[in-house]
Amino acid sequence: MKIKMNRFNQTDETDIDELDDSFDEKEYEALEQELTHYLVKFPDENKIDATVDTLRQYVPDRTTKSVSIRERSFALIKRAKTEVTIVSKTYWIASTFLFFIGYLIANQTNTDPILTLIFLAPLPFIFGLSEVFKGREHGLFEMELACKFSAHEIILSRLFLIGIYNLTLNTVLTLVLSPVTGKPLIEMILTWFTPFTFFVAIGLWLSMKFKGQIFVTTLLSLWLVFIVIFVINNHWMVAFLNIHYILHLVFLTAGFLLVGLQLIQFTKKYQTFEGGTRVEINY
Amino acid sequence: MYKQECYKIFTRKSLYFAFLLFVLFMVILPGGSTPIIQTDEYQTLYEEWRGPLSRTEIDLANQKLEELQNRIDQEMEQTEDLEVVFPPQSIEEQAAFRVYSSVASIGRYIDSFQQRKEDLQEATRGSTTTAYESEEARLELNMLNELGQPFGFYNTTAWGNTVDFINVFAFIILTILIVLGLSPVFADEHSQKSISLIRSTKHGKRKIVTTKILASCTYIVSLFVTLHIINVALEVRKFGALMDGTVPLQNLFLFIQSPFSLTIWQYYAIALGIQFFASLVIGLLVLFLSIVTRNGMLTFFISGAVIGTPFLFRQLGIDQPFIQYVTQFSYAELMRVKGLFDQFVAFPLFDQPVLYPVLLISTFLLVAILTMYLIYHQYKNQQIMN
Repeated sequence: MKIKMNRFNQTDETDIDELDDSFDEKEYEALEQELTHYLVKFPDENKIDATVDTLRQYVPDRTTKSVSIRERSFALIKRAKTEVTIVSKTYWIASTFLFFIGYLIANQTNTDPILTLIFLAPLPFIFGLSEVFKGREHGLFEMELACKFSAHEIILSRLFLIGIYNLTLNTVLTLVLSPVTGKPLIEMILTWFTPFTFFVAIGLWLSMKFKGQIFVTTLLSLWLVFIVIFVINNHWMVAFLNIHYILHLVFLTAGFLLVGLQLIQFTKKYQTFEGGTRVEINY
Repeated sequence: MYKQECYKIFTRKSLYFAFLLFVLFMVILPGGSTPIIQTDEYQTLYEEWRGPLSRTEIDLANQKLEELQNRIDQEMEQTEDLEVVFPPQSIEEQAAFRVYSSVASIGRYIDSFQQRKEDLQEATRGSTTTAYESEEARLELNMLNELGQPFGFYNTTAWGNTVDFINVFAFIILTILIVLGLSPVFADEHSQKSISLIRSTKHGKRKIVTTKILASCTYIVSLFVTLHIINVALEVRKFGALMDGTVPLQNLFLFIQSPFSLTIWQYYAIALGIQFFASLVIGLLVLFLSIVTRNGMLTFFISGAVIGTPFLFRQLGIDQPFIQYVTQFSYAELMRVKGLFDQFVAFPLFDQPVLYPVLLISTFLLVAILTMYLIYHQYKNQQIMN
């Protein structure tokens, strides 16, 4: 027992020394010699060029040089239909469930229903972002890049899909709650739409900065702290709820501009994507 | 080993990003003393009245307040324009109004404090109460008698804000950053497929878990210290200095009903200690979930739900007896600290009243030991699936 203990201690301390001892120079050289037999020589330049030239005739011509924006967006919407099956069912169910809970909470008398609406509005989108980048998280991004639809097209159509779903949920909740608040419908929609666009913009920005599930959780925490600050500072809340609708429209356009800017950056980033290094960086 | 584990946590940019944003929120948040308090008129009056108050002083303040009120009423009748007269226009009158009304309200606190003592005296004699109830009343009465007469006229806004930070912002920011930072500690090794590599080193499972826990504690300590130092610095910048820390805790507005004989300064130290303990307990919970779920995102949501749900119940005002037990013995309540000290709560344990903070802290000590054991146990017996 004692000897055994000693041996363990020794290996613990002299880990690197031991490696040096067992390392035999001659053995290494022999191994190297043997491996050179298996070396595959790089083909010379002429051969490569010849192969490329032979293959060139099989490459089809580009038929339509430029597709109009209308057609492109139409194709995007069409593709979104197929994406419905790819986005996981849990997401659809969880988001709907969330809004159901939101409805129950909003019906409690001591909270302002519009507040619940504001806080709930960006949630499905935040969750949905993790679905949008599912391919990226699972290391399938290179494969997506090589597909018929390029990666940014897939991502854009998924974004479109969850955006529409999110807006539908919000609108339904607004319609259901509108008799409770007694406020005009347009005003209610504007109230939740402005923070929503800002959060979408922040979410897109973060999704480009941080890879992985990190950005979803970070975004959620930001959203949470935002709510708490909002609730604690009563006069901020009152001020926000009573903003004139023209100011709302100004903020809304600003929010839309931000979202548009992020989307343009998005396509740029994933369109001219070379090599795996940049996207594969963690965190 | 320890260094590498720390490196994994501390090199995550998203944590710094979130932390900086939260600090930014703290900075832009409005606050600070109202302008009247900074005027010389208020300060001289404040110096005059500051300190413990006697019955005659309170009566005098009430009388002066009434005079002021009458004068304002008269002026209001003359001008019939509400905007001009109220609040009183001259700075002197504003200052005087503020001081006298504060003193008058302190007088009311003292009255209700005495009333409470008398009620308890009644309860201990126990004609209409059960044995346990009179026992509980005797405990509270003893605590209140020990307090003496804690109320006085002090300007405690700076301390109030500093202490209030613990139960609002520190609670939320610390909880979020701990959950955010620690949920991938065990889970990431599954998602990055490095677990089999790490397990096959010579160190052994027990040592891996120990270093991971130590690294997580380092993260929590640095987070905790930084956050509270920033808060104190911000408060000092807003108010100039933290004054009157040695007066009894009951002079803070939130703790008027507190039965504990502590000064503000002592309470702050105790609250920081408890919150630090709570952070560690929450950290252990997150680590445990991180082992069990093997998924960082799932850990985030589950621990968020475990901590957040009781808090949500409280905010929504759901108070069935069972749910009230759940909220009282929850991570959130321990982390917020305030609920432990702001009023007298006791629970029957073997027919003896036991104070709520004592019970809560000992419960969570047990929970912490249990989670620690479960972490080691689960990690030891977990199979790796790829």
